[in-house]
Amino acid sequence: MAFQKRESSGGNAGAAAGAAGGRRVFMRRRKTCPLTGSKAPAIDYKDVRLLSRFISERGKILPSRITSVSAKKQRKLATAIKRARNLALLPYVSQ
Amino acid sequence: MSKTALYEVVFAVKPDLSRQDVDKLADEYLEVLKELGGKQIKREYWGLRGLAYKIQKTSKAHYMLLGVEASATAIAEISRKLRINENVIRNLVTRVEAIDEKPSPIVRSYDDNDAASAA
Repeated sequence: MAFQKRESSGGNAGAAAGAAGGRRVFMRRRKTCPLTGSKAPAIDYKDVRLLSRFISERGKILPSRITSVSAKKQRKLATAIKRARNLALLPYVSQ
Repeated sequence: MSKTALYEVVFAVKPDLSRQDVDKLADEYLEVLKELGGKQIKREYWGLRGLAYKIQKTSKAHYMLLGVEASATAIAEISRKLRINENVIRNLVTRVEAIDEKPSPIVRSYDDNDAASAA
């Protein structure tokens, strides 16, 4: 809960607040889910290239707060990755 | 006629078998399908792929995908056969809403594998 993103219109207001040691304000616009929408690719355990974008170098599933995948799609994604792992299309661990 | 549903059957076969043997296996499962109700919609050979990790001391396997419309009894029998066969090292049977007629993404990326790893 520490990272609360706020919509702010003031340009330097955020930086000033951050410097004051108050709450941190991120100016970065919230990214939308890369797997939602009409042009988004379908989540499929066979699509190794797509799935590999959502795993770390170690082979772990990346948290959605990093990839900004929606909760619904993250659940589907996790299942797909686990299926691909079982078929040895993706590693359980690498390195 | 018994109820049918769409399924995807993927299995990986030991690399010491030939492509013909893998085809024979697939034919065997499709034969079961014919007897117990169902039909083949898609059949795809993914080739001798490298595994992401070693299984039974081998690092390669033949992969085959069968997209089928099958009855519950047929799919149960196929899945039983897959588990029993020692040459089948991995198998996955999933029920799907629809079977894509186009080649699977895995086959598409297979052609430009080197380009993908370079990027």
